[in-house]
Amino acid sequence: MKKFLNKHSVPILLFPYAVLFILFIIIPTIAAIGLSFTDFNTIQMPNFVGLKNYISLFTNDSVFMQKVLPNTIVYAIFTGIGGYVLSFILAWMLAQMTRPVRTVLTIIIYAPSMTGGVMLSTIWTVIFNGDKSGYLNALMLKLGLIDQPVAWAQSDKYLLSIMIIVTLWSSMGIGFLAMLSGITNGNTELYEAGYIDGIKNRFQEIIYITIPLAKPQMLFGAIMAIVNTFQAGGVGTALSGSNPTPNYAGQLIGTHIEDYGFLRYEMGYSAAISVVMLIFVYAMSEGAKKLFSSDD
Amino acid sequence: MRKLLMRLVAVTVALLTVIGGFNVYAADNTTYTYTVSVDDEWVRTQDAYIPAAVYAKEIGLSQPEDLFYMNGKLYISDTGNSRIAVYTIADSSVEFFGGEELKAPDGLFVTADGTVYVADPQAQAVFVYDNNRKLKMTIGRPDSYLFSETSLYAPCAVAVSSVGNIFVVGEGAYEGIMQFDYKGEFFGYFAANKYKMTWTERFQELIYNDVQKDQLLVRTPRPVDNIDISSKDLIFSITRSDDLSGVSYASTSDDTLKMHNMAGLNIFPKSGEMKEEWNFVDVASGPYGNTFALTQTGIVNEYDNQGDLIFTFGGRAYDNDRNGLFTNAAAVDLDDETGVLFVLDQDRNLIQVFYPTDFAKLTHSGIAALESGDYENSEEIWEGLLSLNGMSQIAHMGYGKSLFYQQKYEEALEHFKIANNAEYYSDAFWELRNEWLNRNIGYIFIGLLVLAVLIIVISVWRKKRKKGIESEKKPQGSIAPVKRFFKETAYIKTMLRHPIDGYYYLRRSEHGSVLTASALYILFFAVYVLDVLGRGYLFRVLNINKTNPASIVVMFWIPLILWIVGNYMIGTINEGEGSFKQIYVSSAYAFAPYIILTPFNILLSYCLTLNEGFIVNLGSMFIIAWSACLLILSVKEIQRYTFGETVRNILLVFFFMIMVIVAISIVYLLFGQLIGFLEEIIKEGVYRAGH
Repeated sequence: MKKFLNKHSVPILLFPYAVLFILFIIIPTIAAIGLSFTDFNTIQMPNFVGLKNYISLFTNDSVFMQKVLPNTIVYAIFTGIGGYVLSFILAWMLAQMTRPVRTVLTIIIYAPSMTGGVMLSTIWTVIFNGDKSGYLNALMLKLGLIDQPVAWAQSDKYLLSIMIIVTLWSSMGIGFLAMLSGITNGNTELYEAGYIDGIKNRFQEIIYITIPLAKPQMLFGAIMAIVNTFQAGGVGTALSGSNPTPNYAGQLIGTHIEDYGFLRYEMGYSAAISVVMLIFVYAMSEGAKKLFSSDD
Repeated sequence: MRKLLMRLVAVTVALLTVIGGFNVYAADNTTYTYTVSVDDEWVRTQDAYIPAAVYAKEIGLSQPEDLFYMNGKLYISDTGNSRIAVYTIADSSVEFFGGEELKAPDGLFVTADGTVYVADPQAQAVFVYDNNRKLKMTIGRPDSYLFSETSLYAPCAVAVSSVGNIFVVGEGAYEGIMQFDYKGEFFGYFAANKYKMTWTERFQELIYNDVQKDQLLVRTPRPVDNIDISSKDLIFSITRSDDLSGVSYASTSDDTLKMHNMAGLNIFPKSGEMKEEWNFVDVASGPYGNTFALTQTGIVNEYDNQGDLIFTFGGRAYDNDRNGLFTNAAAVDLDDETGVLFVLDQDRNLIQVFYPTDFAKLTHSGIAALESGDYENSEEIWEGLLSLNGMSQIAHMGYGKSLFYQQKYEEALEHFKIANNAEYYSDAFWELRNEWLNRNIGYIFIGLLVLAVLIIVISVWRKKRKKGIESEKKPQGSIAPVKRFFKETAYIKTMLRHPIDGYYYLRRSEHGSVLTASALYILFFAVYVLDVLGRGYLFRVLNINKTNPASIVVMFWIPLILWIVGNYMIGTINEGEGSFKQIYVSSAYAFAPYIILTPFNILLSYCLTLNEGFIVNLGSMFIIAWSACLLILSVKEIQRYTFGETVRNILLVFFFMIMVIVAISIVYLLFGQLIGFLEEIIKEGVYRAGH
């Protein structure tokens, strides 16, 4: 028995995780891909319709092409790249501090991403409140920049920008922690060696030592940023209080899937959108891997 | 010969009657009619209104302020004589009323049942007469707590909505238009103007304390001057930006004409996008959502319901009393059924009548058809109008919209492009692109699939091959110039991936050649010209038809040359280590991202609509930022500066560039003067010698 266990320790230890992974990740993904070729309304049996869902997504769904896709791209560029650069800079800055200070600040910076939903409703909805008791409105009224309160979160002009700001604020998540550990756990002797070899300033230090050292963690951070960006969407709904968001101003792929899947119960179509999203995320992650692959 | 000439004349006359058949009175008109051209400039068009008659010349008006047309009668407020005159057009008869109460009647309004509302600023009241000219109601100063005790109450214009709400404009009443219900009960203000703070005032507002603020001048918004109400109960208001006396306090024509919705907000386009005048005195709304606005100098502008200018005509009579011109225009109104315009001249105490030509009527029916959704009909009308005036922006837009709503996107696209309307163009383009996608989606999917398979196959194949020839290395040594050129061009790749290392080797003269750099500069220029002139219509930077090619050459080469020379010169006096050649070469490599990526951006600009337009703008920003970073790095690495020195050096180079440009232009001007002076001397000499 013991011999058997020793011999097959890897599959046996892997077994519980493999079961969970297959049950909750692999099977749903395959089911979604399968469902994306059907029309399924959660009550009747799904019918096979071929590529119809995909074709109508790119040709008939004007909301998707005119609002959702552009919104998602803008949102992804600002929160993905912006949030990523921001978390790297913050992680690097924190790494320069002494240990106790760093720990406290890390918790403070990391906190928003942990408490996301609660903070969102207590802080940001108060700030962007549409009547004159909202902080932003009150401030701007006092300074004479506007003469009547603006319904920030309900206006199609500002919603996307507000979503980006809120997301950036809470984007110091797991990727940020990984990068911080990547930077702080680097071999400090390397820096001294670098200075002997002619590194003159902090900038060169980052380019030649910090980034190459923290590459694996930075890759992890990048992929987390990409996935988060595409999955997000709850922010717009939470801020504006409606799905679809006013005039589809804050509609992202995530909210679009929710809209079709859980409000209209067109599961097949919704599955097709999520497959398209999956392809996007996969392609972007491949790109990130190329960028951070350590052999070049 | 004579016969031929006669025939020619006959043909010309026949042609003229066919082409110009719309206005038989053309020769009689006093002023030309203008419209807005496709290039957003004034352009003459066919006569829209003809001065045809003069009314009420003999009835003894004195300084009349306002007139109103209703059911064949003209109601005139005879201000100087403190009464209202009613002029019946059919038999030129006249009756007067209101002599007892009225002091100096100003604005008036007549409803369809014959009730007359008269605003009298001196009597400080609005008087309401029934159709037997009996005083029915007087609306005096409101005693509502909503009405401030310090507010002025001097009604000077009045309008009544179809449900009987009364809108009153007071002289100097900056709180807005006063609103009364049908019983004369005050219930608030409507559509107040806003005070626009200047930047100085904003700054004062920010830093002054309350005591200091009290010492500043009171800032009040401009009061509304006149109003009219349309058949759909939309209020049109006029706010002069300037005193008619010419004492200017804000001499702009921003937002002088407004169309208000129920909330009092202006739904005409924002200031600057509308052709407005600063000295409007009256406004009259027409039956198709069109509006007529009259300036004090007698110019009548007609707008459509979008605030786009349709026609403008009329003007001031300077030395003689010609029909169709005015000495002091005061009021305008029109007969909704026939479209006849009546314009009151305050100094000459008469009313001039303008008849719409068939051209104007056709334009109006085109607008009406477009608004009612009768697109087939409107297409025909606008096509006809377009053949009459191919320069007219409004005709191109009208025709384009008719086609667009009939889903004839391709033709609509053409006309939106001619009319220079990017938004509609973008919409039409979106529809066209969508149609194309619909048709070809199958092929696109197949194409993508094939591409994906191909990429996988190639990458697998390359991996295999790489393993096979890992050990093979290229021989080093001296190479032929052509080969060297290609090798240095390929060096761009290193430059993009590892810019700091790239510049390091460039400085060590291990890489880079003057030949490659020169080729890069020429390529840079070519791509720049393509970027500036050759983008898709929606993202065009400069219009190729309106651009002087010399200016592009100058705008490109002079800063570039000054940059290179300046960089070298400032570098030599600031302990920079770069030679001229190094700077020349390294600057060229800095533009590589621009040269390589911009063509893709240009291609993209042909496929995108305004909806996704930010991608193109973001792309070009990204490209420029990348190139700028490389340029800064090139200075830093080639001159061997620290970061601070680099910034200082770059600022100095900019200063140098500005100074050189200023110096060159001064020399250029002085040289012009010198030549002029020499010419004068020679002329003088020739003249003297001749005598």
